[in-house]
Amino acid sequence: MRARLSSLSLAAIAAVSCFQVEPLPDCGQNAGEGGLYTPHYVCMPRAGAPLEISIAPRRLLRGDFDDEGVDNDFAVLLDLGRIQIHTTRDQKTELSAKLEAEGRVEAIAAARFFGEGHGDDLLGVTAGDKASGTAGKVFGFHNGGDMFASTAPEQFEAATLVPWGNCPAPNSIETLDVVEVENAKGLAIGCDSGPPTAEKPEEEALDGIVVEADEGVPFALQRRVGLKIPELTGIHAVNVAQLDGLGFEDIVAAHRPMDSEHESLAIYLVSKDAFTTDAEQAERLDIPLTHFEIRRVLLDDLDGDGDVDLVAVHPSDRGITVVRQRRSEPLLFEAPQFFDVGREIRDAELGDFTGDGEVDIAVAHDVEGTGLNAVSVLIRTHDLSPGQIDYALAPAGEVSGEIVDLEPLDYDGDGRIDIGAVVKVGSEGRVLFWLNRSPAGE
Amino acid sequence: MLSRGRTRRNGRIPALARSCRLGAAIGLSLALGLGGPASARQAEPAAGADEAEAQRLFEEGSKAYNLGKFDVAIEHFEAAYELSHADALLYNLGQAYSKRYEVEAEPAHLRRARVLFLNFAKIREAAGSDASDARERIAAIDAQLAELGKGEAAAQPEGPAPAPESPAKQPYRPRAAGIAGYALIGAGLVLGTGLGALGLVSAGRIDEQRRDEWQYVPLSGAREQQYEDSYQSARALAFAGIGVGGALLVTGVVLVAVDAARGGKSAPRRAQLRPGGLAVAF
Repeated sequence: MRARLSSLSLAAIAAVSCFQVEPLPDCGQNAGEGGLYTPHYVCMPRAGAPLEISIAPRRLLRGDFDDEGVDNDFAVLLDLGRIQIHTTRDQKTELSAKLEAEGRVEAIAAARFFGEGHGDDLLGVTAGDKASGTAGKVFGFHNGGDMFASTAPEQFEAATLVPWGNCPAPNSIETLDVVEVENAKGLAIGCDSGPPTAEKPEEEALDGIVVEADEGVPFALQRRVGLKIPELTGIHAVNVAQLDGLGFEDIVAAHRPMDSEHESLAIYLVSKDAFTTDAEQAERLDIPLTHFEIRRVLLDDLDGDGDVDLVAVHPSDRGITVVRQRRSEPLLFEAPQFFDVGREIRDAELGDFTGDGEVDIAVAHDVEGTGLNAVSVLIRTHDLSPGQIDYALAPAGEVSGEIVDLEPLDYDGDGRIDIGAVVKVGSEGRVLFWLNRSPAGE
Repeated sequence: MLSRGRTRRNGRIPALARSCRLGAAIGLSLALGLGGPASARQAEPAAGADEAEAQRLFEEGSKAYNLGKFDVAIEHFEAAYELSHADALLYNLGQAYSKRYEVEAEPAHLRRARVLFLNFAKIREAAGSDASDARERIAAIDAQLAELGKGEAAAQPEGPAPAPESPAKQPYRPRAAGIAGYALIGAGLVLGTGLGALGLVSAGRIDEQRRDEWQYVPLSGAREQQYEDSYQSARALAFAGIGVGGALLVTGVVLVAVDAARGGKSAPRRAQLRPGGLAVAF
């Protein structure tokens, strides 16, 4: 007896194959060595070899320093007050300028502040002496179109006349922008005021400074207003965004109320009047949180309802707090939602890293039991009603060394948000970038 | 039994002698039918040496008959008949075959005995003599054959008939039902194992793919439903294939068993069945 398979079996195979479910797209090469990869969601290969730096880095800042119109350049804040400016064209990066500020640089910001027709200028704050109450300084390097050829910065003391006070410990700086206006309209500076000093017990330090940019006025004479709130010990982790829809960007900062062990988010709604000497204290909204230590405040429309939502990063609490804004007047916010990462956080950034049109949260954190750091992505989950948010934590990749800072930028100029990171390796460091090739966005 | 001292006259056996011989033969046979050891009939004396030889053969046959050696008795009676042509020997032979059947239970002996009794009866009846005894013997044999379920005695034509051949055993050859049964068995195995395996493997792959996508981020409701629908469809196909295949298999086995029980006698032939493309050749 002999038998043979025939069209019956082939038809069966074809019929059964109809039950296949088309798999979600994926980058089959697993993003290559050192890339960030989560099956079907994140695919971010490394953009070439990392940039080696001989001094330990502290901060990575994106900008458009070469006036290309794309934020694919970056500044690296190093120890000892040094700042490197790197510009990128055609995915080739070169060191364009080396800057140096006096004192310990606590924070930097990039924006067109001094004049027009050139790339971003570089601004920052340096620490004063908290013990003596000596104010820190606010400095600004002119881009000038010649890539910071004039390397000496303009600067002024972090002190205000209205109200009278010093900011000995400036900790953060952001530029205030107005929609459709290229140049920044001001600066928001956070100050860690702390308790009054022993030498000047009657003087209370500033909690923050708001500077109004005036093109015709020297930098040192820019109009500025101090923020001094009795119940606060200072604000930090400043960030700015348009919250109330009225012209100027508003300021969101973290602070720890005196009567609470937990931190809160403070929202300052900035108007033109805030910059005049007759201005009353800016309207402030407080959002108490239930966790400690806020390292960063991030702002973006997470739930897709058109309002800017708030994100607080808690390194030691190993999680992220999200506060959604209700679309209503006056400004109202939902109850905070905490998303546990489970590991000590180094930094976090917002962006659409999966390419699905939703805002995700990239988190750099420790890997327990190893000397490695890793990047995970809080991916927005599906089937949520407008205004709702939920995240699923997905590991993406590991890095050798200590991730000091993450920065979202469009490194390759393709319109998709990439991720840059500065990694500290001993007393040296490296800068590396992951290019967004996530399959959902293709 | 042939008697001594009698001679042919003018080539004919005297009628008295014939009647006496026949009467003695009948009487003796009747006695034997009641349990008597001997079954020989008296035969007409043969002329001369043939007669003597026939007589001798008859006596030898009788001895063998008495000893239960019916095959030997048949040989001798047949040889005696060749020499004497005494029709009474036909009756003797019938008796011997009947007795032989009692020993060997071969229906052929019974049929042979019937033929011999029938021939004797016809000869006697043609001669105007009574053959009721022979007819009774024939009837008894018919009843025996009927019990054996052969029914060939009633269909046997009157007259000398050749001994029937015992049917030789033939190897089993499947007929149409058996061929169809094997085809169904094959189709059942293909459907059951093929579709069943493909369906279950597909369902497994679908589930594995779903778990892979759900590893970190929960699936959307629409996609979860898509997976569920495909998974259930694959399993349904698998179980349907197993069910239908099993039914075909069982049906095929039944058909083959029934065909084998009935005893397929068809000559071997080449089957080219193509149910769904399955080809089987014997």
